[in-house]
Amino acid sequence: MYRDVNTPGARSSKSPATNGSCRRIRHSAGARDHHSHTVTTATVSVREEHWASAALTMAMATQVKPSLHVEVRLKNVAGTFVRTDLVRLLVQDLTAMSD
Amino acid sequence: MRDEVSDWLSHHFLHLKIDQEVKDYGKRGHHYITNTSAYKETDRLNHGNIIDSIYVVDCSGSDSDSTFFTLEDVHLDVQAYELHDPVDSASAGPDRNNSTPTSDGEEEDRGAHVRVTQLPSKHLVGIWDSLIFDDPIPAQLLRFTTRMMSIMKHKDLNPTIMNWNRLILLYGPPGTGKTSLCRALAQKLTIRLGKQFTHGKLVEVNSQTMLSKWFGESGKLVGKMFEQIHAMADDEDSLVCVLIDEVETLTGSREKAASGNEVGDALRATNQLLTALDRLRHRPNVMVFCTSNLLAAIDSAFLDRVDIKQYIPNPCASAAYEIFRSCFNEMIRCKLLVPVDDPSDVAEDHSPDAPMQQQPDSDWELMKSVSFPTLAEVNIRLWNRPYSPGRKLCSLAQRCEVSSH
Repeated sequence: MYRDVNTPGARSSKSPATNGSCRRIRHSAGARDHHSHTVTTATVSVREEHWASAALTMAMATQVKPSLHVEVRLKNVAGTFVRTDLVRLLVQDLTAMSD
Repeated sequence: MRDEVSDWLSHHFLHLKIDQEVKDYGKRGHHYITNTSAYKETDRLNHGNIIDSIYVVDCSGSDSDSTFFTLEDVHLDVQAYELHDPVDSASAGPDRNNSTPTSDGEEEDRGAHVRVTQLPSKHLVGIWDSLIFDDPIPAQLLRFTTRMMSIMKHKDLNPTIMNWNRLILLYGPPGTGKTSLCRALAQKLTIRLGKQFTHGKLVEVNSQTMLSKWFGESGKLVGKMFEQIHAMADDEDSLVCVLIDEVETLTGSREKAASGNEVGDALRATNQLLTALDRLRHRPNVMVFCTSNLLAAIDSAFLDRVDIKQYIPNPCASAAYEIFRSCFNEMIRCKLLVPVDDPSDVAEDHSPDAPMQQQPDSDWELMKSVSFPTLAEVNIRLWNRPYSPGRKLCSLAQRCEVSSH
C-alpha cells in the first residue's frame, strides 16, 4: 500500500518541486476492490521527519476491512488426549502380550 | 487450530451471518457455491473431532447494520478456546498468619477478600447473550477494550504518551446488570484476546471485607489484595480482569470524609487504592472493571483515572419486553410453560378492533410453533389482538418502563 521512502528505489520518487524537503507517498486505497475495478489514489505530501507517523495514521484510517469474529469452542482436549493415549497404550500392551 | 478453521471457512463459505452456527465441520458434505451455481464437496476439518461448536459472534469495524457478510469483504478473526470447569475456581482470603487478634482473643473476620475464577469459565457461558440493553453497550465496550489492549501491548509504544489506565466504571441504578456485564466482558475479552493471552482470570474483589474495624488495617488489606493481583499478573500470558463491585465503598470521596467527622481509615483505603491502581497501569495484562450505584460519592481522583464511565440505565420498554420474552422462551424450551389452545381468550376481546371470527388464532399458532414472538412480530402481526400473549407482555413491559422512571 505504501512505498517505503527509505528504500533506494523509493528515493527516486523525491519530488523536485518540493526541493527535497518533502517526499511523496503514493497511497492507493481500495486497490483490491475487485467488484468495482476502481482504484482510488490519493497523493499526499508530508514532511520528511513526520512521514512515518503520517503513514501510520493513514494505515489506521485505511484499515477499513471489518473483522468478523468467529468463536471455536473446543472439547476437553486434555481429557480426550489422555483417553486416546491410554487406549493406544492398552492396545500396544495387548499386542505385545499376544505376541 | 485458528488458521485451520479460518482456511476451512474461507474455502467453504462465501457468506456468513452473525449468530450463525457453523456445522458439518467434522464430516464430508456438499456446499452450494453461489458464483459457480454448483455444489462442491467439502473437506472436513482435521481437528473437527475436538471441536464442540463454531459460532459467528460479531463483526467489528463495519458501518453497516447488516448481519450478513461476504467473506471477501471482511477479515476473519477466529478464536479457539476451551471452557474451564467451575471446580478450577479458587478463592483467596487474607493471610491468616498475619490476622489481627482482638482484645478478647478473637481473630479478625476472615471472609474471603477476592474470588478467583479461571477464564473462560463454564459458569459464564451464555451470560453475554442474556444481557439486553437499549444501546449496544456491551459490544461497544468489548470493541474498545479489545482494541486498546491490543494497541497497548505493543512493546515500542510509549506509555507516557498513550495514557491508558485500563479502568472502566459502570454506574447506574441497582439491578440493571452492571456486575453481570463486567463478568461477561471478562469472559469475552479472554476469548477475543486469545492470540495474546493463553488464559485468563477473573478476580472479584469483595469490597465490604476490605474495610476493617481496626484503625489503619483497611489500607493494609487493600495493599495486600493488590499484591495478590500483581503476583497473578506476573504470568504475562494470563489476562487478569479485576472486578471491584460497589467501588464507592473503597473510593469514597476524601473531601466529604475530611469535612465530616469520619475517622481517617477509609481515607487511607482510598489513598492505597489509588496508589495501587497507578502501579497496575504498567501491567499490560490487567484490566479493572468497577461498578457503582453512587457516582457522586466516589472520589474525584479515582474518577479522573477512569478511562470509560458508562451509565447503565433502566431498560426501556423494548428491552424489558426482550428480557421477559427470553424468560418465557426459556420456560417454553424447558416445557415448564406449555401453550394451551384457548379460544376464549380471543372471544373475550370485545374491542372494535377485535379479530374476525374467521381468522385463525395466529397468535397462539405463532407461540405454539416456535416461541414468544419478537416485538417486531407483535407490532406487525398482533397489533389488533390486545389479549394475545405477545400484546399482554408488551403492555406489561411498557408499564415497567413507566414505573422505573
